[in-house]
Amino acid sequence: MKKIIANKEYTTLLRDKRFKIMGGLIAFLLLVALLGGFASYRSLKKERDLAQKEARETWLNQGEKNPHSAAHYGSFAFRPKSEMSFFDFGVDSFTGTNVYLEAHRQNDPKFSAAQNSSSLIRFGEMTVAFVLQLLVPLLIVFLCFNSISQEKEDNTLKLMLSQGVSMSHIAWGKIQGFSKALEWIIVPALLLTFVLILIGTEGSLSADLLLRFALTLLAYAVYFFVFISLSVVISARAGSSRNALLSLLGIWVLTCVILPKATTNIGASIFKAPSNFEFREAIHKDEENGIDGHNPSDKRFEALKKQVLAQYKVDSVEQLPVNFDAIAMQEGEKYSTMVYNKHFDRMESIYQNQNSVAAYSAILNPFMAVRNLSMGMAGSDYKTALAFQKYAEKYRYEMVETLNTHMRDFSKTGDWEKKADASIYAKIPDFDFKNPSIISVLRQNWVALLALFLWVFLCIRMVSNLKNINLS
Amino acid sequence: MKNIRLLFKYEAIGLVRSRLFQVAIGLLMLVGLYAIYYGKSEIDQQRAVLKEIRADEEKKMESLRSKISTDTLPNVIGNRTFRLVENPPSDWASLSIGQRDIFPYQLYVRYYSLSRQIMTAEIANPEKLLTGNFDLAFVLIYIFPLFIIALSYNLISGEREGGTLSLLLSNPISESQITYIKIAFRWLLSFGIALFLIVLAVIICSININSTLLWWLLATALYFAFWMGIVLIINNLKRNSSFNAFSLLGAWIVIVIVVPTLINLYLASAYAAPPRNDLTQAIRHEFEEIWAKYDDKDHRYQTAQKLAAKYPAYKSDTSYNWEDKYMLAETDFYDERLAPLFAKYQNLNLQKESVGQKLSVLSAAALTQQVFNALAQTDTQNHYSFLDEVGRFHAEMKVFFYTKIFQNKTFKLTDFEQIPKYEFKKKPISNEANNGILLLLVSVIVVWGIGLMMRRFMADF
Amino acid sequence: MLQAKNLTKTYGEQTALNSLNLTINEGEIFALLGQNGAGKTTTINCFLGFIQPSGGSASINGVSVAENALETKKYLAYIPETVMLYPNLSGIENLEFFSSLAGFSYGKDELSSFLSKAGLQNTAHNQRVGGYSKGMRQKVGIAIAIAKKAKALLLDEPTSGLDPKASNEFSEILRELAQNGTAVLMATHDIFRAKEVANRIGIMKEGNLVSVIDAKDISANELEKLYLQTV
Repeated sequence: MKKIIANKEYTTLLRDKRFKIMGGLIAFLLLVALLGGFASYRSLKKERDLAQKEARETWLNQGEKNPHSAAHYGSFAFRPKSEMSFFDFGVDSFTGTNVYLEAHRQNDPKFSAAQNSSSLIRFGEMTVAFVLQLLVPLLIVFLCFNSISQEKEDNTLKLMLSQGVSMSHIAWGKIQGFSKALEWIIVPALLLTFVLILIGTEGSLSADLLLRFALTLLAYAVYFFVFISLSVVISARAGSSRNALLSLLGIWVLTCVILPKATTNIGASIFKAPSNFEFREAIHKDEENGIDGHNPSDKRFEALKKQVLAQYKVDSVEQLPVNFDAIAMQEGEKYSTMVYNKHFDRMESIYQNQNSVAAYSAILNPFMAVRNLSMGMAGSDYKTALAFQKYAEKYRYEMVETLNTHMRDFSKTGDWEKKADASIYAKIPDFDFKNPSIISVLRQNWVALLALFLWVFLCIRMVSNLKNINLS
Repeated sequence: MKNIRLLFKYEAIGLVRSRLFQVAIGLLMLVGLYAIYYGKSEIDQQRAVLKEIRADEEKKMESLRSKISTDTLPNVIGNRTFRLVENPPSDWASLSIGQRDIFPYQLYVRYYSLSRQIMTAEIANPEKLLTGNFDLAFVLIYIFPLFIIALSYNLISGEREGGTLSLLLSNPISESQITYIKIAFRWLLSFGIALFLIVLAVIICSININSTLLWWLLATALYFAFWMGIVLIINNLKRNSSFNAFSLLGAWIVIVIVVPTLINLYLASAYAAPPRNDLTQAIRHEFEEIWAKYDDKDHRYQTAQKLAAKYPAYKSDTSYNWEDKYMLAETDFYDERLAPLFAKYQNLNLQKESVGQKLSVLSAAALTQQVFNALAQTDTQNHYSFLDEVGRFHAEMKVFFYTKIFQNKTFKLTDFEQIPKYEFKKKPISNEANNGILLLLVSVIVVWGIGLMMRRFMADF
Repeated sequence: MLQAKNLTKTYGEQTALNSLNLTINEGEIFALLGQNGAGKTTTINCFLGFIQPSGGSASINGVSVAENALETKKYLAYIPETVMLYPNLSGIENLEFFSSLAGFSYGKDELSSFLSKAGLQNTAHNQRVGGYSKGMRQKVGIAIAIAKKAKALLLDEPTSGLDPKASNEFSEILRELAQNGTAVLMATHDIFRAKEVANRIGIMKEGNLVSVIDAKDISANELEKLYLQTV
């Protein structure tokens, strides 16, 4: 029974001019977004891989230097592009791409794409995710808004029901039919996405990436199911086709345009984040005054000197077998890094809180759920950018620590000139940031996952409740 | 004409009593008020930050003053002098935050190498940057057209489907008259609400009333007139209400969402932002070179010669304080070498922005956003003007301290009062605003031209 | 006075009206019978100026409709088949609106009297039309026509969907209007009503006015027989 209805919907839809025109438009936009996104991804990836390689080479070949000079010279870390980020740019364009790693300073990632784009970027970026999240639901609304209301108005609904078909059968049949027709538009784009992923990774697809792709497909499938069933339910319950259309359009505007912006902004209003100035001032103060306010810089220096002298059982730093300056610098580095990390983590938790308002709104807003999941799976969300920043900071610290330790052991106190052998640079490993695993992404986006589950159940419930509908 | 007053009166009565309208206008007001509140709080935050930094600057300078004694070296003072160069938000920034959340709007400037100071970024939550700002400009550009569509999709089709159109036309009034009067009514209603919100924003955000208000209202009026033109065109097709609803919404999607993103896609590929490796490498490398050549006596001699040639006022007196003077000379040449690289990237971005603005003629929404950003002085060009100001002020500071240092003067208390301080001067609104409004006018004329032409060649009712 | 002279309307190959000649004088009620698609509505639309004739002319009181559309609309009143009106306005407000549009300015009492004349109960005058029955809406439509004090009245299936009582009340009003000098052209399927209220009856078939009979010369049954023979 459902199959008969589904087939009828499917064939009628395929002949419908609306479907051909709008579906064709969406398919075209998907193609443009996919090719444009992939081209941009490729060139950015090439650029950054090359830049990282160059940075490494420059580092290894910087010649004999005093280790501390090398620490000042530093190196660069470039944020790699996740394999699926051409599908969903996420926040990539709004985060810095280049971190300068040097001693004594923790730098922010610089040169975000948004700062070097036309201001039109604020209107959104034409990516596959953009089309799938924003435009496909609208297509669904246009095609499905009168799926049941039109039958009511044409009096064919009563005819069908008098043939012994139940209302929810009709609804499920329609949902199936519409889904099948929609596949013509979506599936080619998704297939092409998979092909491009293969090309992008040169065939070496990790299990993690495969899972990410599969879950992305699932998330979008659920998202479209929610919109299709919602459209059919509202079509059945609205007084007229016109009311159904207006209600669905209102829902679309609310969930896809207004709420995302509103919830993110409300989050930022509730959880106020400090400005760059306040952030750096707080770090500076803590560095000077000691974390608990009782132990200013020079007192720590004195305490350290006493401790090291006692440790080596000598009376002055010149008598030490090691370079005290290096020890002092390392202590300083350790301390300043700890201070920075404390404030950075605090800042980061404020941002997470801000974002959580929007994340929790996923319970009411399927668009939000799929947006967050899609970004997370594509590795272009804020948390991935954060992971990169933390990895870069850890790498920087270990780089400086290695150099300081070397300097401590190979020269004497006061010797800032002695050049180390160029082989020490290789002691610092390659900068190799890997995206967090899919498990952590799923854990971080549990609200979105939960929301999608809830929405599926809600939709199933709403459709089966149609059998009690009053049709007079 | 009396028909106008008559139709206006009954349109108003019918609208006020319709549920859809009550809900729509309620939502619109709610959304507008929130946008005003949000815009104000964001911009007030920026002003608060600037105030905080100014206070910090005062404090730092006061404690610096206390360090001046009889034989203070100017470089000692110079090294600790932090001057705030600010780009405070204009009055109207609360209504269109524009790019102010992406670009930094203040910098603590020292007289030392500009290249090593200027690459600053404001930290921000990237998700917040991604979703953008819910300011009044957003409401005017994205939401008001939806309101207009909700009111206008059944302009004539509603009468036709409701059976009242033939009754209307059996009276001495033509369909064209009815159409234009209804359109005018809806335009007036939408503009009236927008006017109310804008005036409310002006009051709440304590905006000084000047010609900018008129330009803002003009842009809004034109943007709405554009949408009424689209309504006219769709209405001329004489299709049913559902067709009109989704054609109008389709137009909204294309004009407000798809075209701007496509333009951006084009700009991103045709004017791809090149990696700044040459700049970042140069900054680091050149600086290291300075330290590498620190002890090179020949190099030092040459530097002294070069400096004397470039700045005759600075005596290259190598006998006094030469260590510091040498480094200052080196960093001056360093900045000189790097300046073209900075300029290159700045020009690339400005060029991209300018091309983007020209292409925006394809979308009235993009045009209107640009006009709002230009009027609020929150556009990309404003940021680069700020950077120019930084450069200009830095040069002033540099000359002040370099002169004292190279002329072997000691720093006196009286000199302290002479330390350059940055005074922000408001700039006139850029040409982009005028250009944008002109292009908007052209869009309105084109769209209405098409609409009116269609009516000329239309078949009978 | 309504006059059609060789009124013709073609849509490509199809002829909707074939050289129609018809004159309806003041005070005369003319009923136009015919199948769906015979040309009744087309004729009415020509007089209303909603359609441009392909040939011939339609005129009201000697003024050509095609050339002076806005002017001729001053002389006529029209009641469409389904009177929907504005649901959020009351009966009086709807009447006030349409009569103002026609150029009249009536006070509340006058408007009320028009509605009562048309048969609408007093209690309904200030209620929203959205809650009216079909018959009640029809009566507002009639009131609108009466208030216009038009010289010509055009009706398209006026009694379709009305119960016998309302239908009868409607006939009364028509006769009254005709007595006051209005020329009435009524397109209808209702053979009984046509015989009962009209002075002359015309039967249309495929764009042609095939026969015109005086109502007093024929009985209702004969009229039905003639109709079935003709169409």
